[in-house]
Amino acid sequence: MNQVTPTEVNQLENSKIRKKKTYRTPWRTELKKNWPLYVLCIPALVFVLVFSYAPMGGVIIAFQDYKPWLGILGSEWIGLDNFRRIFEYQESIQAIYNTVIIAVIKILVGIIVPIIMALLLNEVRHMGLKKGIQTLVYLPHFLSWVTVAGIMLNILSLDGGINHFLANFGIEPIFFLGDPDLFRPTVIISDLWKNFGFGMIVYLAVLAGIDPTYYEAAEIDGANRWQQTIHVTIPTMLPMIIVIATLSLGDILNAGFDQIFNLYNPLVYSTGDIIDTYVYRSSLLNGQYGFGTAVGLFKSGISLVLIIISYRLAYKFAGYRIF
Amino acid sequence: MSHKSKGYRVFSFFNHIFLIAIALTCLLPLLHLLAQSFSSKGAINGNLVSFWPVGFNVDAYIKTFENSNFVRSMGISVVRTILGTFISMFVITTAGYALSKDFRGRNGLMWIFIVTMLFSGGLIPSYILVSSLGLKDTIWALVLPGAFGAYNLILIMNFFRTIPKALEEAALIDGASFFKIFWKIYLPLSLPGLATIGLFIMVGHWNSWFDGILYMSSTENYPLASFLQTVVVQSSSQNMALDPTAAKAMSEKSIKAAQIFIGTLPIIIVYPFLQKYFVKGIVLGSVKE
Amino acid sequence: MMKKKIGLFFSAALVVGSLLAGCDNSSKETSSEAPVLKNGKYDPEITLTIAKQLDENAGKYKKGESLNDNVLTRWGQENLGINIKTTLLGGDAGNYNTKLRLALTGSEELPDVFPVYDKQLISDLIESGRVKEITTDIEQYMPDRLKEIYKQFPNTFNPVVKDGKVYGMAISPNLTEGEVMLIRQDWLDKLNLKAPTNLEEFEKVLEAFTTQDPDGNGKDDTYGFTFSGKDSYNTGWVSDPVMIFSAFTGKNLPGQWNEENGELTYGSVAEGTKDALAILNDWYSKGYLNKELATQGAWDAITPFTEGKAGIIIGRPWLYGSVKDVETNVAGAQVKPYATINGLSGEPTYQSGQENDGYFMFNKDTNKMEAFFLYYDKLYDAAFGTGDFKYGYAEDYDYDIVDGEVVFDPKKFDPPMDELQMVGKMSFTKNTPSVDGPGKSFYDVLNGAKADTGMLMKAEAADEPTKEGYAISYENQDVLLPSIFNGAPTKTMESNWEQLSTMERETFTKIIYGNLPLTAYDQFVKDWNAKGGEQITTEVNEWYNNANISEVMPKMGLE
Repeated sequence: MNQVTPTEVNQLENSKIRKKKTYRTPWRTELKKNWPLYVLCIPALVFVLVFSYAPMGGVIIAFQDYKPWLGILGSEWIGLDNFRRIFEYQESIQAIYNTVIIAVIKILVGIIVPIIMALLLNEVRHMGLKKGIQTLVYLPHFLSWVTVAGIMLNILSLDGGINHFLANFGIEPIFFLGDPDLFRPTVIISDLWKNFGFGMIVYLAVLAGIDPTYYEAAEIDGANRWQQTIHVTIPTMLPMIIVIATLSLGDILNAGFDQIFNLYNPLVYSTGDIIDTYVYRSSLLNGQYGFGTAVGLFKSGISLVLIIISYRLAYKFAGYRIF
Repeated sequence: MSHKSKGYRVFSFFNHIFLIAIALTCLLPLLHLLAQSFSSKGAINGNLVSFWPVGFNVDAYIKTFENSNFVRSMGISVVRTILGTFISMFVITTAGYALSKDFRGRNGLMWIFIVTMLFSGGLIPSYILVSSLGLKDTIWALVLPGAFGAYNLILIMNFFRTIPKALEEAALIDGASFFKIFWKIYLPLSLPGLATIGLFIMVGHWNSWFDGILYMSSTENYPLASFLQTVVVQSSSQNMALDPTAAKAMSEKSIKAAQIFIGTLPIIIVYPFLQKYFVKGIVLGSVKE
Repeated sequence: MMKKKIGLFFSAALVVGSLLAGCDNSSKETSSEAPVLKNGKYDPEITLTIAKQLDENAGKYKKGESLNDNVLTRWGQENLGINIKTTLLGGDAGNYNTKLRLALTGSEELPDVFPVYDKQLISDLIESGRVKEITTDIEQYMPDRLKEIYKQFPNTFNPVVKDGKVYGMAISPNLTEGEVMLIRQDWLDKLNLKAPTNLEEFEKVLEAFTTQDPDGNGKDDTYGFTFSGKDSYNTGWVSDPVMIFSAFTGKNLPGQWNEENGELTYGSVAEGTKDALAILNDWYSKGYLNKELATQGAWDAITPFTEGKAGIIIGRPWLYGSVKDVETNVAGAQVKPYATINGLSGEPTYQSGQENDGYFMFNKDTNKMEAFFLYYDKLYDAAFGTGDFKYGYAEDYDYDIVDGEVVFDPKKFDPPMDELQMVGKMSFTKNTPSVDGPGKSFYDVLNGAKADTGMLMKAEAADEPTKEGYAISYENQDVLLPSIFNGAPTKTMESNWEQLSTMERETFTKIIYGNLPLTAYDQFVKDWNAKGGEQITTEVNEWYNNANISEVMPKMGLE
């Protein structure tokens, strides 16, 4: 059979892209041919220039002892002092460490689980049930962390619902939110619960677009459901998976301020305090915007490096250009 | 197509149970909120309410709808969400489509957009900008600043890319114009993707509360999420000078629950309607290379 | 080629960005002639702009009313010719402070008068030069009866005085009511116990509440004492454990600065704290305490009491109103207030006192000081029981006159209302001015005073436990200790206080929970001093010695 598999289609197109790069059309012909494409980009460009680039100049605050009434031009320049402060205290190093651990696990889990869930849900034939489940799993995403944390503080407490339930099996009460060793898993699992619907829906959208004839062909070839999944479904999803994975890398230092802020307490600072909660306590509340901006810049720098690395890796190994 | 091997049936059985259980855990918190909103104050404070109302009454709802601030802020949220989503989708889809093609300026433009995803001036410059543009206290302060999101741009761009080029090439041979190709081929086929991103943007707008509090100088202009924030946050404030009436207000958990629930409702209602875009199987038509 | 373009974009952005940030966009209004005050009313009407931190009343207006147009603003317009307009609105405390700071960037005008709740912000505002010096304004325009009040609280001027000049004033200074012990009286009765008056008795009661099944349901589900340690061990309003600390440390309350012989020290590293932690750890291990004390904030920690699980909670007298649900939920439950116990030395235990909630500061260019004081003084009518606000701020809002009698229970209004509309809060401040400190009106009423002013009538209308609680607070007002250090954070505080504070909370909590041995406290004290605590103590004492309030008071006419 001459059927082309999705993987091969991707590689074919990408190699075409690779070939084109060696010849660059001169600007006159380029604009004449592709002017609609440039025009299409204008709205986005305008927005980005006004609302993203213009304020970016303010990044200078990171290098200043910024005082609002002096403005950016009037505030004292202190060079890298703000950045030095990030590494000076044991607490801030701990916070960085916690942030990375929590964020990395969240990313990994946040990629794998929705894929699995999407695949599993795809196997449900009953349309009504499928739709129902799909609707329900996205619900937690709509609630704010203030609400969810409030509920969690209630049911995870030592004499809350969950521990009552476990008591039926003779298990001692577990201090989910007060035990440093348990805090991170609690944070990760609750975040997963709240947000896996997002990834799942994206993947389901991709799955919905897969041409059924691919499956038919594979089945005629003798593949069972599992093999079909490996050879048809996953390759189609791969580009999207890589994209989302890379984008998540850009988020690696955002371990979830809203969530942790509403859930943490002094007992779990050692494992749960993240960069953003630390910065919030030590500077934003006092209006030390210079320090806050410096941390933001630091995070952005790391994100940039990671994204570039993963872009290169994806290109090298999967032949796929993410952007 | 028959998948009725025994192994598959066992798998399918457990699969269904598992998925249904997970779906239920997602439903429960909302049920809890719902139950609270219909319960009496004493019962809630005494921690007696789980999934079923205790001391059933609809007072919380009556009070909520009587509260003109609540109703008005809801209206504001509806306007900003619809307006904001349209503007956002327009801006992102146009650029996303363009960037899904290959042309000379593409990479440069791409990096211009990507950089904005990582770097930002921060709170102060953004605030000064919005203020100097005269957008404060207007709906535009809620709708314009966040209109473009590089993350969504990349997602939409990739949705466009999954559509086989062969379709475009076939249409070109038939003499179709640029915009016709966009309108008649790419747009309909990428509908699941667009609907998905559109939904995310909508949810983002609906739940966005910080910008409301930051840029509005009167509660009359607050979107619903900002309003709810003031309601819920009060209960965890450390205000030392709380007096009796404030404390009493804090105990009104049933009203809080009602407000939170109603605040979440519109999105929950809209969502199933958009669902059909994801679930519908789309047949691309076979194309042989 | 592309790279050059990007470079251009960046430099352009930088230029635009810095221009926007530094430029001062505000156009200052030049009001030339001051409207005339005729018979206590301004003609033509003037507008006083204010800032507000949003509070729970933001959403509660009657139909047709709003933030800038409600019964109180209308009253101001009609009677004083003063219109109040909110031009800066903040969300919770953090957001409000942020907004004030953003206003400083020059992108907008500060209101005529605005409250400030954060000490660092006060210091920043003074430094920015945007706030008015009001030393002579106070002397000139503050009415005598208010001067009498401010004279009693000279320390409240500490944070707003710089170089002998006064830049703000405390908002309605008044010694706020202290905390009382709320106990399940029915449990005491059942177990034949009396309310504890010292540490030993307290421990006995805790033991009894925990082990002797006071609610008689055959289940081991009750315990003695609930409090919160999540944010502080000296909460100052509800779920407060400070009483236990003070039993050992006397006046050296944790989390605040105390003065002895002219020297200031920090309570958490004082002698006796270790013993307090030891006993709390002991009680925790025996199950006498709220197991969730580390994860629950002050307000959440009252739930066990309301549920009927905990027997004792400490809070301000009005806390009764929030926990009395337990009396409806649990058959036979009865809550009674008691004075806090005495310490080891036989002296009463102390508590954190509060003298004011925030400060008024004024736009440097405002010329409405006289109007402000006029309005402010009128608001005090409710506290004094005089003038327009003798009974309350507005009829049909926070009081009503039914059949010639003044009524405070909203259900008895004509027409009845579900709850009171706290109109007074729609003015400049979050809380209405009070001279009732702490609990005087209740004390008077219980001692037979005739209720003929709004304050007294409200006191009389309160339920018994609340009345008793306030009276106890009034009788024991000497145990209220405001923190002596109330200035802006010192230099070392700015960089180190957060770490020290976190270290303190972590150590205390872990010791109580048994995760750390008691010796960890000694290490904590060492670390605290080494990591900036000692330096801070020096700086705080320097501040204290330089605070020349005595020189400034006469300039304001307050001596």
